[in-house]
Amino acid sequence: MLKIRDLQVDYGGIKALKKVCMDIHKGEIVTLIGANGAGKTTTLRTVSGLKKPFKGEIWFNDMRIDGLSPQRIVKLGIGHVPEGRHVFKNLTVLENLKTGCYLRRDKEGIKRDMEGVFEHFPRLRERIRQKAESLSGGEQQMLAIARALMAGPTMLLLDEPSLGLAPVLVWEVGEIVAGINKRGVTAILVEQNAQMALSVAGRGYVLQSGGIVLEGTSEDLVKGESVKKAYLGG
Amino acid sequence: MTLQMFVQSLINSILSGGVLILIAMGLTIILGIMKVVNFAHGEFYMLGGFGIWWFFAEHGLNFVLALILSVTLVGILGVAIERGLFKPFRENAFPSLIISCGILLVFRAATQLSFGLVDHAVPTPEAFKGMIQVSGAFLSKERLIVICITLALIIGLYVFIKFTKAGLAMRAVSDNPAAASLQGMSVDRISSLAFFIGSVLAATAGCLTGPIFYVSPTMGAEPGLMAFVVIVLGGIGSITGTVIAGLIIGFIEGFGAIPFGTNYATVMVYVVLLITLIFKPMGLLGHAEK
Amino acid sequence: MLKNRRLTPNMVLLVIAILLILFPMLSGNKYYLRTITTLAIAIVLTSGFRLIALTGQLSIAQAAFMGVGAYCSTLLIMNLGWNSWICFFLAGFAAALTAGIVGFITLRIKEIYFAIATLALNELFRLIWVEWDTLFGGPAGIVNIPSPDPILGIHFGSVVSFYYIAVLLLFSATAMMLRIERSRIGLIFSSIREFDTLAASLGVNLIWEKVKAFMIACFFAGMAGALYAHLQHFISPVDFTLMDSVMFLLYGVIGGLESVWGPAVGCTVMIFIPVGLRLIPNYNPVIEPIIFGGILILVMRFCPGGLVGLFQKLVSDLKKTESQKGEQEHAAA
Repeated sequence: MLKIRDLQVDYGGIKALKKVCMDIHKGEIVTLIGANGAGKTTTLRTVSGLKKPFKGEIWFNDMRIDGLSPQRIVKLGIGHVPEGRHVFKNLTVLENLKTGCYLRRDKEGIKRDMEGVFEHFPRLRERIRQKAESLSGGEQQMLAIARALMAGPTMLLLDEPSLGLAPVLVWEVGEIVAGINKRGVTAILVEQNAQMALSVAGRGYVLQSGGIVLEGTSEDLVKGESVKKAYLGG
Repeated sequence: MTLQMFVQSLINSILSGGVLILIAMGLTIILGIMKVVNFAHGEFYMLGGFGIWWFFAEHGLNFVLALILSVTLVGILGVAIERGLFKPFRENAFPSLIISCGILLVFRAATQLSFGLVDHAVPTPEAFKGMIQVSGAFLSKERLIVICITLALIIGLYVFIKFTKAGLAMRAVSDNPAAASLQGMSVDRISSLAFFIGSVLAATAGCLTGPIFYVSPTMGAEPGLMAFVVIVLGGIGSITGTVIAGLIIGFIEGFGAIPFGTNYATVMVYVVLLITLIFKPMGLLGHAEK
Repeated sequence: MLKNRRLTPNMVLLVIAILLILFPMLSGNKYYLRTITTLAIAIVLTSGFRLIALTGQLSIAQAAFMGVGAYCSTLLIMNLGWNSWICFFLAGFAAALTAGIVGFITLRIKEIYFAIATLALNELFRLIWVEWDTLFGGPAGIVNIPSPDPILGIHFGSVVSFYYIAVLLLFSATAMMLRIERSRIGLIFSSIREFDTLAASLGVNLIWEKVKAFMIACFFAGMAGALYAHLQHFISPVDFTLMDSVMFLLYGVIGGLESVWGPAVGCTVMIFIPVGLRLIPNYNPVIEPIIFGGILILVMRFCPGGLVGLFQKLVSDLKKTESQKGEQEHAAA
């Protein structure tokens, strides 16, 4: 579904990604793990078009998408939940969700998806008229995910959805991602919390200073000594 | 104060407040969405005035047609300026502020060069002529019509921003441009739209007041400056704040002018602004909405 | 090499200073003397604007502070008969005091709000001068302002004497700016602009530092205003308008706000351009704002560092090519 070939990205002359190759298949949850600055966020930002690659190719459903504008990429069905939530603080919950379906014209579908989102996140329904800035951190994260779902994506990029959340909520986010995946959305999950990520994801890539150093199924990665040491705290 | 004077002051207050709000709304939208401080905004008002003078007074076009024509032209000019000059400095207030000073100098001098520094009179359209008597006070029909149009535009803009998809996109971009582009919104297009709406509103204000006052190359200076006072007083980015502040300033000017003279009324406006900033550094509603 | 480079600006400064002092003896042309006097005043004002800009604030009211100085000194001399030299300094203090009060109110607020508050302030002052005609003479202004009092038998009334006072003021203002630039305050000022919160966390009292910069700038603006009043023998609200304040911004930006030399370069270029243009027959000065505005837009768009920034870039590019030639020597060092 998503093919990344020899992707190179520069930030002001500094190489953020060096020759990254990835394959994401339909229906998977794939996690990217690695330390801060390993290039996880950059990978997502490049896929969603916020960052232009220096070299390399990105293919989505047999269409080359590297260098396209974020608008085009959203239209193709890739949703991006950026790091740090980035909900529209001065907009209400409902308005935030409406921005998610900005490009859609099918009123019936929007209505259906909105219902689906509220079923998934009942707490958002309670706060529908509230401004997003008045929500708690966990609720804002849910809103950010819900907003991305409103675009009806076939693939979702999630950047550190558990960042800054209480431990209980971290696992709740994991369950949410699994639930979304069950409904047929392929997901790439970037996480600091490798434990949670690997429990949800089927496969994973380990990034280190801009390159992939390890890849495999979650079980293999969990068993692997290096991952255990570096990212699972023991 | 006689009834006649009171009613006249009331009408004048609402008129100048409304015109200010029309100009300031565009300013605050542009500032919110692009973080561009446009000191040349008052010049769109001036160009609108010259448009109505040129098409209606000089070339005898129908008033409505002349208005639409001049407003559209100014709107296109606004978008051209946004695309050509402000776009590289989006999100960067200081360079855009300085560029807008340059634009102001160029516009003002260019109109002066083309049409001279004299005041040009725009005749009142036939339909606007006459007086209306309301419980013993005479009101100018022209001013009432202008007030109605202005109020309709303000309400229309408010509805547009609060309830349409494009309005939602404008608010989203002004809130968080990166997140907005991830929802498929084109920041470029929304910025141009904001500039178009802003310059059209200012130009409309210029067209409507053209027949009431005179048209001259420096006519944009005072309302342009006052529009800034309005948005700062109301709180930058707040539409409701802009409306409230515009009316406050309109009333100070309208009711202060008769007993104290226009200059003292303006002094009072500035004093009110400075005092407000002492207690509310973000303006009246600056914190609530932004 | 390094030592040499540091000396160069001082050498240039010295040469310029000597030229400025000798100029009246070399040329008796009163028109040029007056132009340079105006230029010196403009540089003092623009340097002040730049100093405030260093703290991250744009003040669009410098002309008003010049006016405060001009009216203060003029009124004290003409109504109370005070010595003009004392009034000269009092003018500076009056402007600085006003700036201090205004600064404490407005510098706490965010940049855009501050810029607009200063705009309003400029208009406020102008309106006060226009309306309070019993004190300030209204729109007609104040006429017949005397020349400064003589000192030790030296009379000040000629174009040359004004020229020297202006040059002296320019020197002292420039010396002050250089001192600030190279001192701890200068460092604090620029750290405020770069990292407002960082500077605050380092224990720098932001507001006080910003007010300080604002007051120093306005002190010199006030003195320049007092000088201007003597020079013209006439002041009116039209001399200190918003447009004049915008002009100081324009001079500063075109010269380059990064460098302490920017205001001088900007003012010199922009004041001599009209002087040159007026030599053209049938010249219409109405197009001047178009030229100025055009230059301003072009500078901002293509070299935001201003003319000085452009020059520095050219020099460093030149040095780069030089150093590429002698790459090995440098690598060894």
